[in-house]
Amino acid sequence: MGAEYGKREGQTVSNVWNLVSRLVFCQGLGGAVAGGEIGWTMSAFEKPQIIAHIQKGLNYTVFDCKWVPCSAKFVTMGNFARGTGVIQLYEIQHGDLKLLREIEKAKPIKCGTFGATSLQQRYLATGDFDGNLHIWNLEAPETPVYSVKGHKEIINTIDGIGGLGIGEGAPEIVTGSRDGTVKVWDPRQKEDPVANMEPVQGENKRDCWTVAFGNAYNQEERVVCAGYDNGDIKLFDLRNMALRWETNIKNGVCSLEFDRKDISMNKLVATSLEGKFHVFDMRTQHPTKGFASVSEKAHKSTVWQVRHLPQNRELFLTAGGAGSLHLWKYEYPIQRSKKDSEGVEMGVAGSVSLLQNVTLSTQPISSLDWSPDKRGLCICSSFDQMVRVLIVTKLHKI
Amino acid sequence: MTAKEHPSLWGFGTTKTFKIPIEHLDFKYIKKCSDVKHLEKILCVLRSGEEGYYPELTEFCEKRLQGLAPTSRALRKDKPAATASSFTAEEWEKIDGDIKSWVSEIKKEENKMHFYETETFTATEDNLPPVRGSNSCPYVGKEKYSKSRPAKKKIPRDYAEWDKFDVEKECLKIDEDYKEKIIVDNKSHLSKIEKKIDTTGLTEKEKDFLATREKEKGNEAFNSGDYEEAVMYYTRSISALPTVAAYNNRAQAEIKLQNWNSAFQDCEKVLELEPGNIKALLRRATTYQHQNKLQEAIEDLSKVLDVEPDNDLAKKTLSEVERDLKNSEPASKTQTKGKRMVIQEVENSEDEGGKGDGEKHEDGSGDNSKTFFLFWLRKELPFYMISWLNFLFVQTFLVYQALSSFALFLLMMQTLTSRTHFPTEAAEPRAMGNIQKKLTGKAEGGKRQARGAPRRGRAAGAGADKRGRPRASATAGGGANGHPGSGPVAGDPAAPPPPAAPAGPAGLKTQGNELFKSGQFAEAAGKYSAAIAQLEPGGSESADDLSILYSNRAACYLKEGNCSGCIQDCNRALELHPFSMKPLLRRAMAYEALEQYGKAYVDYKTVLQIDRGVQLANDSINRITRILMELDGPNWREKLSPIPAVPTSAPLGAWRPTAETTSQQVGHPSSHHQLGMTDEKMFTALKEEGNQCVKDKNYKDAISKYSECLKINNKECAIYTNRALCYLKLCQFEEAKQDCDQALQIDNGNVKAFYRRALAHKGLKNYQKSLTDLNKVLLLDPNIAEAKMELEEITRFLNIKDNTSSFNKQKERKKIEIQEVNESNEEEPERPSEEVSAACLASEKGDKSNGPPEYSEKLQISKPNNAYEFGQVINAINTRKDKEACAHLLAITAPEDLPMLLSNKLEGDIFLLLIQSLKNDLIAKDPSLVYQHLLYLSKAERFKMMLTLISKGQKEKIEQLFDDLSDTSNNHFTLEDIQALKRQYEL
Repeated sequence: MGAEYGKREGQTVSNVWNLVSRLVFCQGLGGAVAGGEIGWTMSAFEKPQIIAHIQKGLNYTVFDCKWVPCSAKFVTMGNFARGTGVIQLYEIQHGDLKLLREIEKAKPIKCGTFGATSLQQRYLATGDFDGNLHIWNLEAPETPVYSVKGHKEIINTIDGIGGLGIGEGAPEIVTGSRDGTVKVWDPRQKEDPVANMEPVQGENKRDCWTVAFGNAYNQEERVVCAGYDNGDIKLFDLRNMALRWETNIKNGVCSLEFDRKDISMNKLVATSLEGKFHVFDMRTQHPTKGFASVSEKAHKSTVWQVRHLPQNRELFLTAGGAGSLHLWKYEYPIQRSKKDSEGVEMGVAGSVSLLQNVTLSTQPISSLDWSPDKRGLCICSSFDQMVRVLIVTKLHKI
Repeated sequence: MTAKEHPSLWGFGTTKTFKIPIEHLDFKYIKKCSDVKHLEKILCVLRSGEEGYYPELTEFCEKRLQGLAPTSRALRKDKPAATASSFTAEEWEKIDGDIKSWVSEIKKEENKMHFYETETFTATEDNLPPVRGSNSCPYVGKEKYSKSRPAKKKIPRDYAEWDKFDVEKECLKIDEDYKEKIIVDNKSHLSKIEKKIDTTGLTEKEKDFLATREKEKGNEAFNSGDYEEAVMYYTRSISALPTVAAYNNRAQAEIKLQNWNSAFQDCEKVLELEPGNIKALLRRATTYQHQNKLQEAIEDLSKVLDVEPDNDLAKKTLSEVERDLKNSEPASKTQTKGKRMVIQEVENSEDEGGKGDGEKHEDGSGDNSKTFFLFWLRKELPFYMISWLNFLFVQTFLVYQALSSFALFLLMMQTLTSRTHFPTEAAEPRAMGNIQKKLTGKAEGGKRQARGAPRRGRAAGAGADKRGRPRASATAGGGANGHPGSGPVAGDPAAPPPPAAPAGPAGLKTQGNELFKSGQFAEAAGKYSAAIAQLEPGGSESADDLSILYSNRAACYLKEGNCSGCIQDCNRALELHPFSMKPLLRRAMAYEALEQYGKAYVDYKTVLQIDRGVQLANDSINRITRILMELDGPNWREKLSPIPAVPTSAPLGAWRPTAETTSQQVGHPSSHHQLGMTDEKMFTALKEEGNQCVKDKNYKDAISKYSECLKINNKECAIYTNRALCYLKLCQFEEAKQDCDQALQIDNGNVKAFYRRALAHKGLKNYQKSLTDLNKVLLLDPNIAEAKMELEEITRFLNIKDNTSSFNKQKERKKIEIQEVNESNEEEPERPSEEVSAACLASEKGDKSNGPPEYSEKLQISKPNNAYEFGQVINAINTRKDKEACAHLLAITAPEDLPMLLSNKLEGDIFLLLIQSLKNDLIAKDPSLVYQHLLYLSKAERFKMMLTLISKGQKEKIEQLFDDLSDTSNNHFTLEDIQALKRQYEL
């Protein structure tokens, strides 16, 4: 599969491919999966349905897509075959997608977020292949509002907080890069990150694949969680500037997300390279055992993305390497914490159940985003150069 | 049934994958097979088609698996996404229309928002917190850190440095902080959440956005059972933009938390905003139900049922309420301890008022998903419910009381008035006293006497019929005056009303009693007031009468609900007649009505001191205790004003005359006899009270009780030992010792006395004597573990006194929980052992720290197991510059471990500290250890770096150390070794 892409995308894509090769390598069987029969079981219509509402082919490799808050618009980010970066702004109009704007930039754009912008401004923060962090005003995209060469290598992942009314406190952006560092930026401070998390000198630099903000329930508290290619998950407490917790899930961590960023840490979902995901109950931290977790073998290949429904934190969608989407529900145990033999509180993990699954494509779904404004509206982009608008029905009934 | 059990007899072989025998791919086999794993494998093989394509068999296998394990992973199929064709036309129209309308709506909103863009932008900017790191240095340690290495900021921090922060900072402080955080209970963050959202400068749309978001957070918290968090988020939502849904949901969460009042208020708000909101009505009904406003609950429920006659929840609640209503009426007969309650659970996430799905849907069809939880809430009813039941209960009891005293009064009136011209009120105190007696008895007793009364009162010929039920006016009195305190009063004036009542105080009082009986409390109070006004100038002579009058007027006020007046009158009555029971009881009830539970408690307690048997007081105490515990938490007792100790003589003095005068009564012991009895009774009563006080940890009162006991009988050994215990608890060791001495004089083999004297001696730091006593204890009973432990400890204290310099002892120091000897004697109060032992421990701790003071000063050093522990210890030592401790640390640390323990944390100051402690303390004791340490120190990670950093003077010190080392001859190392090592140290 990797070779196929190389051909199609030309030289520049080899960069991408270095990044994703490890992920794709493990997809193995993914392609062999035969399309299932069309046959709804009895209870099919009581379950939520995932509808592919609009599909659109693109002429570039799309890496990320994000809804523009308070609108029916979304942006897609990726790279053209000629090696330049692209941001496209689409709007849903009469059941179709209308391209409103296309912005071409020098470097391929890997990821983007609106998380740190105000509802009025709606500036897009992006990370590119060269390690640059830019903030764009989509109305005037010629020059970035903020620009910094944040990392030595590609910025794999980005997350924002403090904007859009999500999370109290300062607007901050966190970026994770192949250079092994995780940096937190405040758009008000030029040049330097406000926090930087880097491996020890001499220690192997691990490729950081995913970052996520969380625990921002008041102005002081905030954590950053980072996942690495070797399966490490590290939780950094930004208030105390300390590593609060770390664990290893054995396989590369492709995606991390807190169920909500702006409440006291409740749950964290981590998806991994070999098709599993782990749900950690983040309310109770045991001094030695850490957080309780439940894991589930979700897809037959890499789980590329996990995204919680903004309107209901117990529901989340995972996107698999073989173009499949799984909708899950987390159920709490009767008691969320118990005392261990020494009387120390420890968490109890709940269970996850599959609500619905569909296969959209044979290629990995690389990104996924729920509309913050409309329950059940979702976009996803996949490596077959498609962007899809999905509708998930009956979510309010769960 | 597994594959292994069925060897392939037919020789068909096995499948390629999983090696399943071919014959297992068979309808019959699959039908029988209950091994889910095996079935999954079969299904996998069938689907793969490697053994051929059998669609029916595959389907059959799927069905079988579905039946056994519906959630099996093998059943998950890849399905294409649904499209318009997967739905019926209407469904699709709905879905599509929904999206279309949203799109057009959001576009409109978006355009509006652009309009505001420029105006509001700056306002939000101002509210933002400062840039991280620019001004925030939460820890002092951090500042230090950056000072020592100014280039820090530019260099990216690595993980180790992140880790290091912990060590670098004042270890202990951070350690505590860290632990605290780890142990955080799940609710602690709630207090840190702002209750209000700052919405200045936000547009309506944004406020709505925020409010919705917060409400959703609330819904999620509600659904995960975190009701407090839910309330918090609903409150935030309301602070941003008050909505019906948020209020409604908060009401539901408050109901869950049983905060009926808050829930009620929220429902009120909803109904204000949206009159006739079904959910709010339902929820208000629930709060009414639990606040015992059953009538209002029924009203609300019927309103709901008017609109929605099929509302199951409303029906259910209504039937509950009606049953409650029925139950509460005959409650006087059946003392119900628990009550059935309904907590309604309304599917909350549907409460999105106005959003997308319509209201009618959420209220109507939503009912199916609404679940009912019925459970028994024992004693968790609101207070008034209980008190009301209690009141009914007491009422019936007091009717009997009233009747009995009534009959008695008739008898006395007859005898007295016929013989003498004694003023009527002279009879009063007797009757009252009698009633006081009677109150002590159970209702049973009252009943019996009431039955007997008519017989005796036959001469009077009026007032009571055979069933003991007063006729005519008396009935009214009995009924109306069912209130505990008023019962006796009602009985008092039951004589046939004199045709022309004398105008004097006695007459006024009689009139007052009459009026009281007939329920005209205000008028009765007026009469009493007049009587008081006449008697007032009489001063102390008429004190008794005045007291009664006040007491009666208090009863009137209580009836009228004039609680403060009642309290005032009771106070006056009590001034005149301290510790008389009726005013105390009335005052207690008034306090209770005023919700001054603490004071009520004290009064009831006082009543109980006078007479333990007063059921009303006992019940009330139980009730109030519960309330107070709820209000003030576990330490509610501390908030009480001290309960006045009733002097032994007081109640007796007050009773004796009455007891004497009524001695002619059948069934009453003669006063003489009673006196003798009383001493003994008083003694036991006091002792019990004392024990009770000990249980309650009210040692001071216990001491006074025991002292009273000793006044009556000073030959009781147990009292002395008990009092000694109290003194010990209060750390009054001298007194404790004396009591133990006394006890031992009476009984020179009393183990307890010995043990307590040992403790007292210990408290007095008289360890030698303590030791002797403990030895005696163990001699008498070698099985007392506590004594052994004490003995151990005392011995150690003694040793330390002898040898305070011994260092290693410190390590052995452990907290020893001193458990009191488990007293088997019945006079000893059984204590809630945990608490007492804790208290005991506390006091022990107290004297320990007074004892050998050098103890607590020192660091506790134990062998570090890893770099972290070592780092913590060494940092702690470093801050104190405690070379001795450092030497100790080095002495217990194996030199080979040193590089590991130091890891990369070897710093200049620590290095010097190590060198100094080696030089000062260890070289003399163990030169070979010093050598070893120096050797391994040179192998530590940052050693070379260290050497380049240290100053000349410091180098000289190291040199000195080496000189010292080479001076001491040792066979563990040679001079060459030292030379070699010196080179390592670049000397």
